[in-house]
Amino acid sequence: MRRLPRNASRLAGAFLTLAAVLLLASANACTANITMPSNRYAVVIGVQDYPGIDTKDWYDLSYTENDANEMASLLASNGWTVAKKLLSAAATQDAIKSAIDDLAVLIGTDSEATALVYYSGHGDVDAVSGTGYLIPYDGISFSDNTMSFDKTKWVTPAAMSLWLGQVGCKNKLLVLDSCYSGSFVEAGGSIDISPQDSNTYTGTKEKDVLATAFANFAGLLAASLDAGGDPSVTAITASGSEELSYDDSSTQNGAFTYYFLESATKGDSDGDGFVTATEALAYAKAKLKANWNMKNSYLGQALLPHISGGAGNLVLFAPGT
Amino acid sequence: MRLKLTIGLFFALSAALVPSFGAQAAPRLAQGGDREIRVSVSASGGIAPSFESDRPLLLAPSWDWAASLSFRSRDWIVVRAGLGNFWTGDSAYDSYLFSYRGFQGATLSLETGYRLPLGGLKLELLAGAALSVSKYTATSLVTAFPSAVADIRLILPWAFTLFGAEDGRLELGVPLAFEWRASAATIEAGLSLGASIPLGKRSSK
Repeated sequence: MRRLPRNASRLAGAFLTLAAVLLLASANACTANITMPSNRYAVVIGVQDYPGIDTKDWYDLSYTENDANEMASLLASNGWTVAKKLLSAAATQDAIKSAIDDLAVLIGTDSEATALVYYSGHGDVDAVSGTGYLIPYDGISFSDNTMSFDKTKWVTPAAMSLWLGQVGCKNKLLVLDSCYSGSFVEAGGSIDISPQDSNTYTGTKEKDVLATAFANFAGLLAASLDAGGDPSVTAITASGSEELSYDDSSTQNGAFTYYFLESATKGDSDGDGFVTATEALAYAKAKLKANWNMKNSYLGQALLPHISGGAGNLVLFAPGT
Repeated sequence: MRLKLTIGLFFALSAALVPSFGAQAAPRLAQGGDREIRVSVSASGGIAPSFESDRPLLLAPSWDWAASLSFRSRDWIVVRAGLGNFWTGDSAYDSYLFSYRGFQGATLSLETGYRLPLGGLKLELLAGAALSVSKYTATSLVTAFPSAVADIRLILPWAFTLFGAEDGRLELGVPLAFEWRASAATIEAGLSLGASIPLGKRSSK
């Protein structure tokens, strides 16, 4: 019978003790008790009835007010303070800016607060520059029975970034259900391999991820070192930057918003009692793929939600509260 | 679930090893030649605290497995090249419900180091660099990042034969890594269990 030297036995024991400490610390990290903070504020916008003859002009939307109303209710029931809800005629460019300015005043210097801006309405993109836009109520003019666009009232990613930049907290969420909304997503040091138009697969397909990544390592590394954008803003969008977004008559919501709302009760994939931005995105994306895209991709109406890069994640919903 | 699996796997491996510390039948002491090429596999579990400017340091669970090839000349480990697959879970939340996203991916590493006698055991100290590609869990976002890596390995004093290769050995290790990610940094620290066999060995007379 051969025994280890005493020093070796002690060393081996120390290794196992260290293992136990590491694993217990790790397990404890995931189960800490947390209560919902009260400093979470939201601005909710739904533009459905644009200027025109009535509520059913051809360019009016059908369910964006439902989206905004249901989002506001859901946020309120999850501990958020809905500071402002703007519907249709109330949702002009000035009013949206003013609501975000008021949010900045409300939050003040509370850097630990969380701000959320939700928008459901029309969006567009400049085909040449690729710049995306949100189209508020006054972004469409109507006179002499003719509709026209007033692009000076459209909201660009740069404008939204400027407005949100004045909100003094470091936790900000921008949730957009509009056409071409993917252009509001910052790369945040990542490369998004999800196509910007899932109907034509511009960009890349979502497979062979790591093989593709290793093959493009230099580009990836450069992207990682050039984080860009405002890391405090996490944008979640219904569609890519080259993709349309849709109202869904069967759910009476935006196709994306319906599943995004549903994620509050069904999207807690790790069962920790919280639905994070990433979990909500993953849930909505999976459901859109399985339900909406399966039925509509043959019409060229598939869409895939996108989310900003960056290391951070924020809780949106707490089903247990 | 993955955390439980990691913990379970680790303790199962540890439990399998612990009886050996007592008195198993006639273990053979591992012998090393002057120069040696070894191939090894290992698995590790541990914690991965992440932090970024103006954000708190938050812990996450992590595990990985790796295969490596090393060339040793006497006590100098000239090079150890590794290829591994890792998983780092979502971090804990801070009190304002911020957390760091989980990420998973693959790593290529190169290390060099030295082997020291320690009691009846041998201790290998290695340091080097690694390049990783990863995907944020549940997203389509991929990133790449460099890391500084270090490894403290305890070579256990028994040998086994595998696939005709004698002088196979078991290793307990403390792998460490500092990852410079896009906006955050992550430290990986854990405990590993591995096994290696020599591919070629040559001793001077």
